[in-house]
Amino acid sequence: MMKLLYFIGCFSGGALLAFLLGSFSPLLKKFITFLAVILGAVLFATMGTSTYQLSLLFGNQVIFGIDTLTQFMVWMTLGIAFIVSLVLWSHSELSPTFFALFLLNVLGTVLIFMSRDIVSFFFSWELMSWTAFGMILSDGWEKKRSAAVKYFMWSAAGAYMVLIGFSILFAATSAIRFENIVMSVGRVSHGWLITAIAFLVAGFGVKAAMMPFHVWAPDAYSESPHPFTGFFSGILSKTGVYGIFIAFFYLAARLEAVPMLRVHGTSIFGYIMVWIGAITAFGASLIAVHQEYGKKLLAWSSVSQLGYIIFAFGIADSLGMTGALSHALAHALFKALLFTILAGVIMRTGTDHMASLGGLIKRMPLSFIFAVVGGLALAGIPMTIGFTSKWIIYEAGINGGYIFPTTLIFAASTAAFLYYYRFVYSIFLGPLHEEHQNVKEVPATYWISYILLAIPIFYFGLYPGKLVGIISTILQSYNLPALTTYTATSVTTPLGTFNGMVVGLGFGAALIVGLIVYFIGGRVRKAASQTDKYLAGEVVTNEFELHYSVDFYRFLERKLSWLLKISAQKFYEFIGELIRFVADINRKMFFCGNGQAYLYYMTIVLTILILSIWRIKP
Amino acid sequence: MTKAKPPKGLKGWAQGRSLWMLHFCTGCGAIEMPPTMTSRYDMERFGITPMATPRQADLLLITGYLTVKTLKRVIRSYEQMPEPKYVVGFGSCTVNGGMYWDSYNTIKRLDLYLPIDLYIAGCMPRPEAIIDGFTELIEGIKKGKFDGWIRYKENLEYYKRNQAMVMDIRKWSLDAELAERIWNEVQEERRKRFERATVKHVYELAERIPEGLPK
Amino acid sequence: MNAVGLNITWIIFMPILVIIIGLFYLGAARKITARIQNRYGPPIYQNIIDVIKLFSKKNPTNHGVMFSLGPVMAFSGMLISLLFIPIGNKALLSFNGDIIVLLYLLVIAPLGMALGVGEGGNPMGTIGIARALTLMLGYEVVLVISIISVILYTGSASFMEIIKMQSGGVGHWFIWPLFLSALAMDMALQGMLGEKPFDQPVAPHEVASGPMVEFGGKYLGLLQLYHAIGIVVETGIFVNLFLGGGTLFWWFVKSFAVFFVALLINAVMPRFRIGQAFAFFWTYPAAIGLIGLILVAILK
Repeated sequence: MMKLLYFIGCFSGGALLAFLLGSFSPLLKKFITFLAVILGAVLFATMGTSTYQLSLLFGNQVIFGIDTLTQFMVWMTLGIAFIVSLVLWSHSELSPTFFALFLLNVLGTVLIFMSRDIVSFFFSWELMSWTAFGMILSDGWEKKRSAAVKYFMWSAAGAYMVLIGFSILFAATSAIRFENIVMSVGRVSHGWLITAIAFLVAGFGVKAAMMPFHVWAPDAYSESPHPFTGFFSGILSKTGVYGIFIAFFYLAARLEAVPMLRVHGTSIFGYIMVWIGAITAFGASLIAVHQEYGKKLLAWSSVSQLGYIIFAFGIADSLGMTGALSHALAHALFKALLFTILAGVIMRTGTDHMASLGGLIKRMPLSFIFAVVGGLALAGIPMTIGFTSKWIIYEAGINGGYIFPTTLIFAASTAAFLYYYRFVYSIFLGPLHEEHQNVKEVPATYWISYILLAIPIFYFGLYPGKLVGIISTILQSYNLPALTTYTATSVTTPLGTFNGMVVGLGFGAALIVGLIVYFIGGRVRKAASQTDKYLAGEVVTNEFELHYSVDFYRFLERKLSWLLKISAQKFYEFIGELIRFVADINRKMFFCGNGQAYLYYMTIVLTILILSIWRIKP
Repeated sequence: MTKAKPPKGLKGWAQGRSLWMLHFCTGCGAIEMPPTMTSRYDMERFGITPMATPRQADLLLITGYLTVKTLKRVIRSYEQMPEPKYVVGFGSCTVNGGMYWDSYNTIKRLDLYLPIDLYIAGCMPRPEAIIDGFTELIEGIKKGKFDGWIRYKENLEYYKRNQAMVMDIRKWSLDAELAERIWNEVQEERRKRFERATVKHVYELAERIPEGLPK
Repeated sequence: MNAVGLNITWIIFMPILVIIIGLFYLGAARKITARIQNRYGPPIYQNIIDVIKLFSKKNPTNHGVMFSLGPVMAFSGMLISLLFIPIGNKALLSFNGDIIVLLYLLVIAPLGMALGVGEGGNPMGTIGIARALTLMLGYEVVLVISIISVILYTGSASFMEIIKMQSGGVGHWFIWPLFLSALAMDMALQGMLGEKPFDQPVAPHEVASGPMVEFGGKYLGLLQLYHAIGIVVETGIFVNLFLGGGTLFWWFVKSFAVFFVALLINAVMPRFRIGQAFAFFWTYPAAIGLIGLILVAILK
């Protein structure tokens, strides 16, 4: 009880202090934030698995609890929050408000994972959404208005959908605790239950950037303050994933028995989610391929990777669940890494427009190395956590018989190579531009955070069994099917085996062989200058644009233009126009400025009200 | 420092049996290459294949006259090739100017600017002559007879000076420092000579022909 | 010597064997193409001479550390991929990973090369990589459809299991029951091998041999070795999935037969534009593969 209060107090007090003292000294706000995150992690470590009741006004109680899943999610959150607070040491230019909101955001996210009843869940959800909204706006209203408003509208819509879902459940079961809802869910009629689940999944799907509710995500991710984007994309989206998890497995499990709702042996919800996930993953990665800005590219990539998680949740057998949760961790790690690297690049060069960058490997070699590490995980190359999770997801898809969505998922992961190469080439490779000749490597806070993120990426890639072990424990505690055929270094599914250590050692040995062969070949000559290239005998100066980065995949775009034309954004804009049109007619008819007409309308409304009360009264 | 030597033994044999030529065609000699490559004469049976970039090539063919403008590109390409590398001059144009002996914008003696390993005479040489020349080149490379790139490296200053007589070498040389120095020297020398020159010397100044290679 | 020891011996010697055989494949490819074009052609061991020559070249130009590491990573990536397909009843490391692991191991090599090419900084090289990746998006879908149909048919993604199910003569090969999938995969293989009409990434006349544009000397030598192993690995996937593996000798015969088909198409075909190639993969081969997949799903 007290520990939870300490935990909440640590973050909210830290936020208050950072806000009040931050304007006096930039060092203080950074230090307070850093300390609050560390202190929070220490407090959380002492809490163990337990349940806490907090008394509110009028004797109402809210319940917070910690179980294995909560621990998994919270450690993920606190880990990435620690990385962000480390990186924030190099960002004095951000306002004290930002630091305060960041701490509150972390608190809100952690409380979502801890909450065990509708009220606390919704409260934490709103805390998380509002603070993120504030953070997008923290560098000024004018620049970020469009993205922030879009994010806020969608968050609000999502929150209302969640609220409607919860209200239906509350109305039917008159319970606010999750466990009570689950116990008495049998009393809810199937129709209401399906409606509630649909609302909940759609509401959480907004946060998890599920198509067609994804339109806010690319804008919000790319407009949020750069050091924070990793947390935004890696962790805040996971609250949606977590919401889907609890909605789906507390409630939808009951629908399994209804034969009408079953397709190919799974529930129709699962089937729809598999398709939505696959289409999200595929569509978003095709869009990511054509982005010109680094943050937009990674943002679309996030949408795509979240599609994998939704796909895997939809499969809902032991493999799918394991895949979904492990990919949740994998995505948090590699996306935080990539966004942090991009934040470093933006800090040093001032832009994320990929065509104006290039050749930074010569100036920022460390960032390049870790961009490769992050990219390996993103593209799902064996030896990284990205492969561990994606491999389980593929096996789950094929094993579950979802052949067409699985094909889409594979295509999405090939498209990931395309956009990843574009990202790393345009920023780090190619010729160095004249104005970036004096760019320096990122400061120590940055590269320490790179290393901290890279360690688990490789660890869980080489020891896939450890990750599967953690997730199996969680799933078993929820009485869900869990994958049990694993050792520390290998995982076995009904289809095949993957041994991370053997792949790692084998590749290490192969790399040594390759290097030996390389060094047998003798000396090389260093290129005389940056323009010492084969250009059909021509010699160009440094000003000559040799960076192939604009319209990188033009030929692909041409062939896929019919597919890329389909845009959810345009559909919503159409709806917006439609509403504006109807509202305009409405305004002309009713808000005519005539006092008599207003009085007339008021009379009608009052009459209806009186009639309705009279109808209910007896 | 030991003197660099052309490869012999296995390396020399492999180098001789696998000559990749740079697909760089100048002048009219280029038209003799397609018959040499295609089914009638089939150069590939000797392991000679055209390559797209100088990085991959061992053999630079100068297939005919070189204007000064082309010479710049040829020198750039030659310097970008990895060693060992060989240059073959085709036809009389590369030997002494041929029918362009009095042209103002073609160079006359190619070996002033690049180290030539082999000339194939003719105007133009027929594919038989080209194959014959290549056979001699291959046999010579196997025995370590051709050392053009070593001569170029050792007498770089000499070649650069000659190149500087006809073109601006500063932009077109890989060794920018050396090129800058020699260019300035040559300009100085040229300025001094122009001060003394009469009209009949102008042609001579445009392309100076030095005597023999330095020791 | 016990089984494990024997396997380790094979793990060490197989790459050497495959490199030599792969180089002979490339030499044979040149010879066969020459014969189709009514030429005499180079000797069949020409590519071995080429590799020796490339490694003996001095002072190839180096553009940076990643530029050097690129070909090394390409070579090593192919080497490790090689160990994950069973060759001629030799399991090598393939019991540690299934087809999907192999599919993603196969990506290390091109990715390494792509990074190297990127540091080379030649726009033509990058255009070549962009084309190669676009082509990959095309054929990977077809490849995956075929592989899924095999997995669906056998219920296993392990190469050894799939080979075991095909034992017992020509009649048991999966190329008969899964003919459409095999056809689709063969088309995808044409793109994977980079043979015409799908050689846009390395088109010498358009992008000056694309990714290889800045690589010379030993870099190119490493890439030649990578290519040599790559041919054996890529045809080997087809042999293991559809032609039933076989003893060491027959495995290479089958693998060469698959390569031979690709060569014949290569020798007489012009080149697609890259957009056309991509669209081609997503239409005909994908359609054939999907029909095959649906048939497997229905008849299973």
